[in-house]
Amino acid sequence: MSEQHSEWQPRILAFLCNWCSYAGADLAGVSRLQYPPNARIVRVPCSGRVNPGYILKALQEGIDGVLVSGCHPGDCHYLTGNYHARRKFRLLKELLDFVGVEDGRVQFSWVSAAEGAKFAQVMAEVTEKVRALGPNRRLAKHLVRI
Amino acid sequence: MTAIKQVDLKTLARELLTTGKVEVFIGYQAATQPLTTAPLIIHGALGAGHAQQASNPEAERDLARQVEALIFDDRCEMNLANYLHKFKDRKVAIVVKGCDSRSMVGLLQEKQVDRKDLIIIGAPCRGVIDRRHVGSEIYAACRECPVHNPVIADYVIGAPVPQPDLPEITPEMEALRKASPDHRWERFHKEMSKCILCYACRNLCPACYCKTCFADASKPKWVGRTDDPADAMMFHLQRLMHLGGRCTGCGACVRGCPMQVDLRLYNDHLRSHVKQEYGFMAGMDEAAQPPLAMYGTDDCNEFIR
Repeated sequence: MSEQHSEWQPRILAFLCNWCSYAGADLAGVSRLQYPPNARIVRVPCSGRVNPGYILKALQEGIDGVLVSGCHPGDCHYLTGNYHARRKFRLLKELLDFVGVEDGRVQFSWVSAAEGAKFAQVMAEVTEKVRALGPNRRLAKHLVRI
Repeated sequence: MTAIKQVDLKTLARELLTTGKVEVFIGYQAATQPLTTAPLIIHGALGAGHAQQASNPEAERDLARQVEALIFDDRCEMNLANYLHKFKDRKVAIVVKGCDSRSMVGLLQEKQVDRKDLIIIGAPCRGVIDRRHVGSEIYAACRECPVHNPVIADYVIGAPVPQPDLPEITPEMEALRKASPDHRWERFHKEMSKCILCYACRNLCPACYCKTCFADASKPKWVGRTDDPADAMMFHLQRLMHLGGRCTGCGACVRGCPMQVDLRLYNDHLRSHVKQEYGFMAGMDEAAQPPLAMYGTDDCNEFIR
């Protein structure tokens, strides 16, 4: 069991906004920064585009952690998208905490296009946190999908 | 409330319907089983499709019979605000308790109904008898109700009732908040395992008025059709998110649930979060903006890296 556990790698879904965080990830790559390869990246137009349903659905489908990353407050390409996102995610976080989903399954960050190093660091931190939590068992669906 | 005219329900209904001030009157009638009531929707003589019946004595007798069947007492549990969408753009009179009036204000806020089309008949209410615990007990939602008198009304059909003092949060909620995440998860899992995805909660909810619900969508299929609690969780968590800052706590979902899922617990938690964070109570002010439709530049940022 312990051997299996040591082989287990967390699978993380990262929603990155096109204008800041995705460019930040690009910069991390171009700068040859090392960070854990556990995240699958989905490029979205804005962090405000991320429906909380996407996050819940990803967890239901068995992903171990979700990261949503957007522009810093005040820097949104659409001016207010990330402000709206912040309220929405605060509510989601409140709800997930209250129902007992582990803290850290769903995480949020602001990463600008110039912050390649911050992106690499966020990736490392998120991956470590989710690794410490272990596989996602709570919201994941166990029965056959119909 | 004191300035609003106190009237007799039946007299008012008769007048509104026969003079054509409203096309539709939404109220309550006694139902067939003890302690049950049903909505009574009366179409007036001058309502759509009834134009020729104006001089028809049989139609008049029918109308009089229906008006006679109108009641209001502590058995009237249904939230009639839920019927307003069905009569959009028609002149409607509706009987509302405190909770129903808040649901209706929510609909006004979200421009789902027009105030011009509404005649609101406020019904002060001390709480509705809980049919599942017979013995003069009222529903939990009514015990914790902060608005016994309608927040908005054109007429009222009774004297205002006193508002009891309420604790900020219930002992049950306090205990659950202090409990470990594992314990909270156990509770959530237990509640969700009961759910049979009949969607009665959604259908009864005045705030759930989307014509196409995500739960019915097949592309993408948000909610699977298995009895894995994960499907119920998906449905309820998303619905809870949709109701964040909008749920008024009327308790219609809990009353209608055939499996006694305690949805109120989760709605209550989000409602108190929104109240604490943004000082907002849903359904109190027609002109207010729902907090989840706005933003603040100084909102909490601590949970974001």
